[in-house]
Amino acid sequence: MSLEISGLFISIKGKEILRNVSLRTLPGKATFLLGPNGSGKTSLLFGIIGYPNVKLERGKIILDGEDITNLPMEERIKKGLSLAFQNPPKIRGVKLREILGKIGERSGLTMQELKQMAEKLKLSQFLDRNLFDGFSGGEIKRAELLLTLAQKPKVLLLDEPDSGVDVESIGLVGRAIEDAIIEGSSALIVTHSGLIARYVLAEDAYVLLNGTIGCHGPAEDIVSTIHKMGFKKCVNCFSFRVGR
Amino acid sequence: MESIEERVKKALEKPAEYGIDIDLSSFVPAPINLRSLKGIEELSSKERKYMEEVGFNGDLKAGGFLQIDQKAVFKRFGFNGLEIKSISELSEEEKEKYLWKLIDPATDKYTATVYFMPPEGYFIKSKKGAIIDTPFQSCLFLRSHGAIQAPHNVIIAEENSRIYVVTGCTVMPERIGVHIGVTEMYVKRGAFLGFVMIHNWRNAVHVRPRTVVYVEEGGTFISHYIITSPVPSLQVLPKVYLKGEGARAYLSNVAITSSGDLDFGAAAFLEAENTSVEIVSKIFAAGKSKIIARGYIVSKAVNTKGHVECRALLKGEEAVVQAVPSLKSYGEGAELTHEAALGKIAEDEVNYLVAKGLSKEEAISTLVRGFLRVEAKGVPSRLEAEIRNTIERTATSLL
Repeated sequence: MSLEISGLFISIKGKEILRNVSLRTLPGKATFLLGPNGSGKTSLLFGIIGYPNVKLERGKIILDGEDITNLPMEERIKKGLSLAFQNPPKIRGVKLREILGKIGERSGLTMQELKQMAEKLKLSQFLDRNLFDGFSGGEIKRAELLLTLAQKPKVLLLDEPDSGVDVESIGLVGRAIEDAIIEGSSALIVTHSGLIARYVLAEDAYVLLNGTIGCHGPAEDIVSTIHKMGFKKCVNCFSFRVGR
Repeated sequence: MESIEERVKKALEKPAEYGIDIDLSSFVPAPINLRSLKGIEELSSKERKYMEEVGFNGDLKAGGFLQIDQKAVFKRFGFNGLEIKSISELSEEEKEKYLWKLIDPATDKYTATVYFMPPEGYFIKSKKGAIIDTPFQSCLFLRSHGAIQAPHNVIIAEENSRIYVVTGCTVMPERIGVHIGVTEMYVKRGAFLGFVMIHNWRNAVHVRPRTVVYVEEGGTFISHYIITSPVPSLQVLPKVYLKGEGARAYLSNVAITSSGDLDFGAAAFLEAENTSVEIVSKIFAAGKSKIIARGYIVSKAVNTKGHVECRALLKGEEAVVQAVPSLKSYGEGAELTHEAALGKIAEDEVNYLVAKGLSKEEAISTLVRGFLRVEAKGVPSRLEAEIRNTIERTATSLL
C-alpha cells in the first residue's frame, strides 16, 4: 500500500504553511519525515488526512492509485489512512476500551484481538481509564498507537511517536510499528529527533524545511547526518542549493 | 395569634424564591378515587414502560410503592427491616409526629398547595441497624390531564441502618400538569441513605419538588437526581442540614434537556464539626433550554469541608446556562471551594474521534455521553449501572 503526494500546497486560516511538497511512501516500508520545529510536519500529516481547517490549495494525494485529494476526512480514513496524533486530546468520561471497541467494530477486530494488541503495548490495565487522562508521556504514545493500529490502516501516519517517551515505551512503540509494516502497511513517520530510527528501519527519508521539502535520500544517511550536525547543516545545504 | 391554617392559606399566593411563577389556578387537584392494585402487572404495558424509563422496573425485592395521581395504588413490603406505609394510612398521631417537621408549609404557594391537598405519598422507615442494599423502588405517576399531583413523602433511616430509595416520577404522554413533591428525610446517627430520583416529565409538567434532609452524627446522605426530559419549568433546591458531628453528604444533579426553564441545584448547611458536602451538577443543554444551576454551602462550624462543581455542555446558539455557586462561612473553620465550566462540545475532540474512524454524529454522541457520565458514588453497582444507562439513553435520544 502506498501514498503519493505531489505538489501539495497547504494553508491554515489563510496563511500558507506548506509549498510544493511531494513525497511517497513505499508498500511495506517506513519513510521518515524529519524537520526542525515549526517546519510544517504536523500540518502535512493533518493535510494528508483532511483534518478540518487545514486547506489543500493545490496538489494531489494518491492512496494506492486512487485520488483522495478532495475527499473529507471521514472518507480518507475509510480508505485506509490513519494518523497517530502527537498530542491527542484528553477525553473525560470516555474509556480507552470504549473507543478501542468502536474502532474494532469497523476494522473487524474482535475484543479478544484488541486485548492482545493492548497487552503487547502493555496497556491492559489502562483499558478502563479515561482516554489519555492522567497518562504519562509514554503511556499516551502507546495508547495512541494502539488506537491507530486497531484501525488496520493501509498507510500509517505517525506524528513524533518518539517524543517525550521513556526507553521502555519507545521500544514497545518501535516493535509495534515494525509489526504493522511487516503485515503490509506503509508508514510515514514524523520525527524531530530521529530517535525512532533506532527501532524502526526506514528506506527513505525527507527533510521538511520552512514549509517545503529540503532534502530527500536514503534514511540512514539523512538520519546520521542530522544526528551529527543537527538541522543547521540541512538548512545551509538547502539555502546553498536554492541560491544556486 | 394567626393559626397555621391561616398562615398557610396566605402562602397560597406566595411565589417561590426562585424559578418562574406558575398560575396554579389553571390546574385542578389530581383525583384520589383510583382503585388499588394487587400488582403492577395490572397496569397497561404502556404505563409500565413509562415507569420503567424512570427506574420503576418491577424488581421490588426491597419493596415498592406506586402513586397514580393523588392516590397510593400499590405498595409491596420487601424486607422486615423496612416499614412502608402510604401517608394517607398514617394515624393522626403519626401525621403530627412526622409531617411538616422539616419544611414550613407556608414556605411558598407550592408547599401550601401540598398542605391543603388530601395527604398522600410514601412513608419509609428503616429499623435501627437494618442493612438493606437492595433499593426500595417508588414511582409517582401523573395520569390525569391538567392535574396537580402533590405527594408528601417521609424517609427515615434509623440509627446505623443503610437503605436506598429510588423514586421515578413521570407522566402519561400528552398530559399537562403540575408535580409538587414535599419530601422530608431523616438520616439518624450513623445511618446511610442513598436516594435516587429520576424525572421524565415529557415536556408537559411544571415541577416544584421541596425537599429537606436532616443528617445526624456520623450519618451519610447520598443523592443522585437526574432530569431526563425537557420540562416547561422546574425549580428545585433541596436543603441538606448536616446537624451532627462527622455527617456528610454528596449531591449529584444531572440535567439533559432541549427546552424549558430549569432552576435546580442543592443547598447544604454544615452545622456541626467535621461535616462535609459535595454538590456536583452536570448539564447538557440543547435547543432553547434555559438553565440555572445553584450550589449553595453555608458553614457554621469548624473543620468543615464543602465543594460545589458545575459543568455544562451547550449545543446550539439558543441554550442558556448560568452557574450560581455560593459559599458562606461563619468563622474560620471551613474549607469551601467551587468550580464551574460552561462550554461547547470540543471540536478538537470531535475531530480526533472522526480521525479514529467514528462518524461525526457518533463522535459527538460519545463525547456527550462521556461528559455526562457520573461517578455514581455511594450506590450499589447495579443501581450505578441503571443511573449510567438512564443518562446514556437520554443523551442518545436527544442527539
